[in-house]
Amino acid sequence: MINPQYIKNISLMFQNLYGVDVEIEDFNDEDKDSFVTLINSLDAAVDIEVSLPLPAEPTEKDIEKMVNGNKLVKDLSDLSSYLWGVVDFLIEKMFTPKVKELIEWYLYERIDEWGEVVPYIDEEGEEIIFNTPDDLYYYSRSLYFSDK
Amino acid sequence: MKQSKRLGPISLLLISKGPEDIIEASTTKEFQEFIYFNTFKILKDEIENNPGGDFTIFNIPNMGVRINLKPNQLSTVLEKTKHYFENKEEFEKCMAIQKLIETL
Repeated sequence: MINPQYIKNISLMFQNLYGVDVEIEDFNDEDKDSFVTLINSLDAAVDIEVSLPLPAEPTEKDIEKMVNGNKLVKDLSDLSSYLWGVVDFLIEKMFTPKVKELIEWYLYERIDEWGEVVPYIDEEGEEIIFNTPDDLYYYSRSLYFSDK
Repeated sequence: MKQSKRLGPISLLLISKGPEDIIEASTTKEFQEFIYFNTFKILKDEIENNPGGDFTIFNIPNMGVRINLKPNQLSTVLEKTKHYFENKEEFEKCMAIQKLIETL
């Protein structure tokens, strides 16, 4: 369901304009639920990835193998970089490049090193706070429809 | 058989940085013109072609909501719309709205 504060303010807006209590019908739960599931899953994946130890430097033997044309897989980062490429590609196809950039920002930059939520700065230089994936969903929809 | 082309609900994109911006945006001249002009258009079509039922006047696709009106609300909405055009001295629209009110 849409953020109740949006419903309340849309209702107030029409009450001011029309002088009646309009009915506000929510038709979009399914899209939002899917989006929130996607963001929560990606967020969990990023959390796990950043908590893993950094890959070890390749040894002389490893380098020798690579020079000889063998693929060197030392840890999961080799795999995940391919998978993140696929995720990036799919997100850009599903939404728009701007929404993809916003999702990347949400996943990697929204929380600072002290665990605080950092405001997102939009193209007009205004600060927007995304406390939850729901907030990201509503703003992403605005971006999506203004891009299309 | 003649089929009339219905106007249907108008899509309204509400781009806001948060719920509190919505009220502020609705006070701008451009927004009010958009709402009242389209309200007049849609209600005229609705009353002339499909009187008596509930209907959707606006879709707000980026918020995933529809704005619906009930038949017993139409005269109040039309009065408000007429009042808006009276202030703008657009009397032809006022007369057309008054005719619609009388048909209800």
